Amino acid sequence: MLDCFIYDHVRTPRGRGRSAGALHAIPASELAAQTLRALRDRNDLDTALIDDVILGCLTPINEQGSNIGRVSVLRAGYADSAAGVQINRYCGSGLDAVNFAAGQIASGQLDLLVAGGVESMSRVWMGSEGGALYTDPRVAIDRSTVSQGVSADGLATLGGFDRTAVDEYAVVSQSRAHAAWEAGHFDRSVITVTDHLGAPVLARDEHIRPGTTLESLSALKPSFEELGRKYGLDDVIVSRYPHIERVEHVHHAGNASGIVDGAAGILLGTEEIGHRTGMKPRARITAFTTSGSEPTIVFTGPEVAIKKMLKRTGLCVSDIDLWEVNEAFAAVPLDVMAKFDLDPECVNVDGGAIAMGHPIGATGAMLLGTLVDALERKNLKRGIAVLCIGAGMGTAVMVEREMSA
Amino acid sequence: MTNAFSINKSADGIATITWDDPDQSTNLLTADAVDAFHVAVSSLMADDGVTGILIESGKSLFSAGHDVDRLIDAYNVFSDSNAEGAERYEPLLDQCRPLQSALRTLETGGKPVAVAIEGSALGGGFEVCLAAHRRYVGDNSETKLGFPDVTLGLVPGGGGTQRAIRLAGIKAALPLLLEGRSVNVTKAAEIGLVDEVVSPGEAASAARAWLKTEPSATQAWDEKKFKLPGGDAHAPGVSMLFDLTNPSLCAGRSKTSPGKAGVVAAVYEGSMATMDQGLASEAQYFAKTLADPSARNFMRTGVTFKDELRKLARRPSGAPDWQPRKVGVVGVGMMGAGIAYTCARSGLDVVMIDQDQAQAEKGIAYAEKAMARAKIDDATQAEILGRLHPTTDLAALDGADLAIEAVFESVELKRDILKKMEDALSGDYCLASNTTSLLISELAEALDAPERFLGMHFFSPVDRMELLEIISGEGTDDNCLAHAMDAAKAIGKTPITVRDSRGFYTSRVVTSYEFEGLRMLTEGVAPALIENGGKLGGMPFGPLNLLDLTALDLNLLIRREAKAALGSAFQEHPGDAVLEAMVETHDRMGRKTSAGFYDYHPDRTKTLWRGLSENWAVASEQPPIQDVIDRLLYAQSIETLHCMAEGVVTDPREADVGAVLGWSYPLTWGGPVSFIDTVGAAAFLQRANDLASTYGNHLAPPDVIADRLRSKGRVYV
Repeated sequence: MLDCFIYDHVRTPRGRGRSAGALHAIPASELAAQTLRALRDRNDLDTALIDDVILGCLTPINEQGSNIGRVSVLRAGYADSAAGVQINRYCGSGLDAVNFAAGQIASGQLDLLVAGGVESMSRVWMGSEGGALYTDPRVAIDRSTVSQGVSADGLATLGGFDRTAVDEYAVVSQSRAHAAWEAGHFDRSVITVTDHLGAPVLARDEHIRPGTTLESLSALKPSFEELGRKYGLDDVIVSRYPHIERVEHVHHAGNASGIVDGAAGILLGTEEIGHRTGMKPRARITAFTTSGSEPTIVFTGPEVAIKKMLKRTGLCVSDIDLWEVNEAFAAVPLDVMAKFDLDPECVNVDGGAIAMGHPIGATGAMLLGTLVDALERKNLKRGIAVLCIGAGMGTAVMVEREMSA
Repeated sequence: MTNAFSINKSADGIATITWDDPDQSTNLLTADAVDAFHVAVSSLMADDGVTGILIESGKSLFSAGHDVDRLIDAYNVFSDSNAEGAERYEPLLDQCRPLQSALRTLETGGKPVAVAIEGSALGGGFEVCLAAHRRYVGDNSETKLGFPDVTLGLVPGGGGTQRAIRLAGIKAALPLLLEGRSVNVTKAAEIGLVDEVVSPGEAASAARAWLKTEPSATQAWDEKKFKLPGGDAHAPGVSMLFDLTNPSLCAGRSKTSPGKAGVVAAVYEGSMATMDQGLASEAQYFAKTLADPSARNFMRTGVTFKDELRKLARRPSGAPDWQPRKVGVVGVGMMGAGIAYTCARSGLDVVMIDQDQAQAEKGIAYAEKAMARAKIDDATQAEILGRLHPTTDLAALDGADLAIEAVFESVELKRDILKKMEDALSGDYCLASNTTSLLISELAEALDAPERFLGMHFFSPVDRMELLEIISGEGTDDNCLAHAMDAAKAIGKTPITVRDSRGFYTSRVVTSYEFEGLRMLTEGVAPALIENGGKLGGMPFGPLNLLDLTALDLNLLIRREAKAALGSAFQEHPGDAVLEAMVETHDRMGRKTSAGFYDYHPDRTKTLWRGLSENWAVASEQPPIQDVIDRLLYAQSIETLHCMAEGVVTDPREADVGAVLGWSYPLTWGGPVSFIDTVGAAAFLQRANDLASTYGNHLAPPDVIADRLRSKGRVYV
């Protein structure tokens, strides 16, 4: 097996996922293409060396349909020989793209890939791709799949995270993201999205609300209470987890991931390609994994994936310096921290999707990039990025870097 | 071959099929009827002289009913069969494919078909109507149209799912199919299930006029460019309906009709397919559903057994016919008022007697409220009120055939009142007490003619709960029992006959459920797990919730009275200490005081009292949920078996129907006795003994019954 290195990573800032959002006028393939061009230009890269571009995208229809991976590669002006593909493992897609790339590199079959994702949630609405998960009675009834928001509230209830706990977590995410921006933590990785003439359109994540407090969040009504109570979704959760009396509804727009537009790309390759191109590796992927988990509660996926990864690597929690756990809903990182007894100071150190947003197909790559940056900045060795995934799954990646003396 | 269908050809080329089954009061689609229909239709399609077909009924209803006996037989054949794979389902498919096939012949045979609907068309009868090319219905407020199949645990098997969605669209049709309720003619026309509403009696001529216009003989859905109105299952606005419906069907067999999941699946899949493919889908789900014993239970307990009991299968033979005309109710509390109203509603004259005139007159107010709620018209209301006579004078009982005592639950008071009532009665009367917890024989001691006295245990609210538990005392004679059953029939109740014992049948078994919950509480089982265990087994309320609803102080009182009466024979139960503590230490009486095992909040929600875990420690290790579910179900079945071993209940049908009607025991199991057959007798005995060895001997089946079960293999043959 060969080593797989991260050479570079970029992301667009995340625009608000509605028509007033700064990136709403920009087609999704253009967002992705801008990240691809940035990777090329920053590294002075001959794109003929790139074997494949793997992009995650959750709603691959209409503008994002028909393999937005290859479409973005063409749009970016890459060499003909750079292939492209779109994948979908729901929220994990951006990280799964990294995993698929890493596997091909490690096996020695391909040398240099871009793995990332793109999602324009303002231009192609979440859910518009249809699907059978909740709709086909033979899936939904037989496997008790329910809308994720209710599952997230179920997770909070199981873990004993009340409204205060999840809101406090959201405040932390917001303040960390804001502080990270102010301190320039994202300067290296975030590219400015430009218009057709090259003028800047968006340079900074616009979803962040720095003034967020417990008081400001307390005004928000739980988003999934009516759905849960009126349509029987709560009953489904309680039927599966009968030691709880009922689901307590605690999540709302302020403590769940934001709906945003964005794209990201990570440049991955063999050691040899680094020598050939003169690029210096920033981190090495030392492990990656994915696992299914209980599909009704959905969000125990990260727990399952982390356990699987630690078991396989023989490492334990104390061997990991930093964690990125996607903030799909505040209860998710809270649950992971509780189950593995993590130091909150080591988890999502620069804020997360609650503050900055979750452009679904791209987020996995964004988390990994943030993790690499934070390890470098703090001169730490090892980190794990993990995402919870719809229908009960978890995907994780472990990276290591050489610490400087 | 049945002559349910007669054909009349007129000179204008229109052939009329008149459905008027001489062997039944309502046109029912038996297997014979389906065959005869298909033969009739085929012959008309082949007849060159026929240009159009009109279908009508010769009865006041178009058609209603399911041949449940035939469906249950088919289930039995399936269940006993040794065939493997898909072939096993043939006997079940035979219950729907013939009708599907006949109706396809009707709509694709090449001749236009119109149906004239006068009177209700439900189930298969309505499915026949939907296969016509045009439907006319007479405007009658009594006419009901719809698909009651899910109420029988079934999926419509005559193309109802496929034609309803193609006519009305999924959004309008799916709720109708899922709820099993019917609509009136206006609503049916609004959503497209019928084409035109005409004056009553005019449907046939309207249909005939349409047939004369040489209309198309092709259904819209057999045309090439057909699109489902409103779109298929994944159309915008439609998929959401599935997303919001599916969760309510998730909890599986215990919660809801087994037919519902099949209906949604047949609609979902068929909506994106041709009619023939959709029908195949519907047939498969029909068969899968009927293959589940749950459907058999819905039909057998819910229809067959209930009908048998309502028709007084258990009436002592030889007792002469008897019809009550005048009823006396003594004690006009809520129960007395309900009983009085129920009798008056059925045409009986009622004297409502209370020691206080104002209280007696509350019976009038009760009736008025009930009639308003039931939207009864003014004329009928006046009639009913005219039959209610409030008074304080016991002498008003003179001439009453049936006299029911419904005073406060006190032995002394009841004995006193009953004696006074007996003194005022004469002739061939039946005297009854509505007591819930006192022994009939004990009350009978006060009477000169105990043979004319028994218990008539009504359920609240009396006007809506159809069960009547009739308790024979030691001295009650057959004539009296027959009277009570005749009275039940006269007022529309379903009677079960029970021998006198503490708690009779219904209270005794429901208490076993509640007290198993209390026992678990004392063992450290988490309250939420107990409650969910009850509900996951199909009970509408957890045991602690049910105790709150039936009042903790009342339950405690009943236990104390039993203890006083039985002395050393009284069997203590760990639940007794719980009730004592709740009532006397914590002052919590249940729902009526907004504080019991639950706290009842102003916004109508409730949460388990936090104090439960402080007073009954929750064990760190919890039992598997399946053990909790099973204990709560098995407790009921075992107690029922004890009732049968003691002769308190002598007919398992009455145990099953009494449970379903008395305390909403889940129809999916068919009743505490049907539960045994559903699980399988051998599996039941094994599980009961396993539970007994882990959790206590009270869960062991009585030996005499266990032996019989082992040799017979099942309860019902």
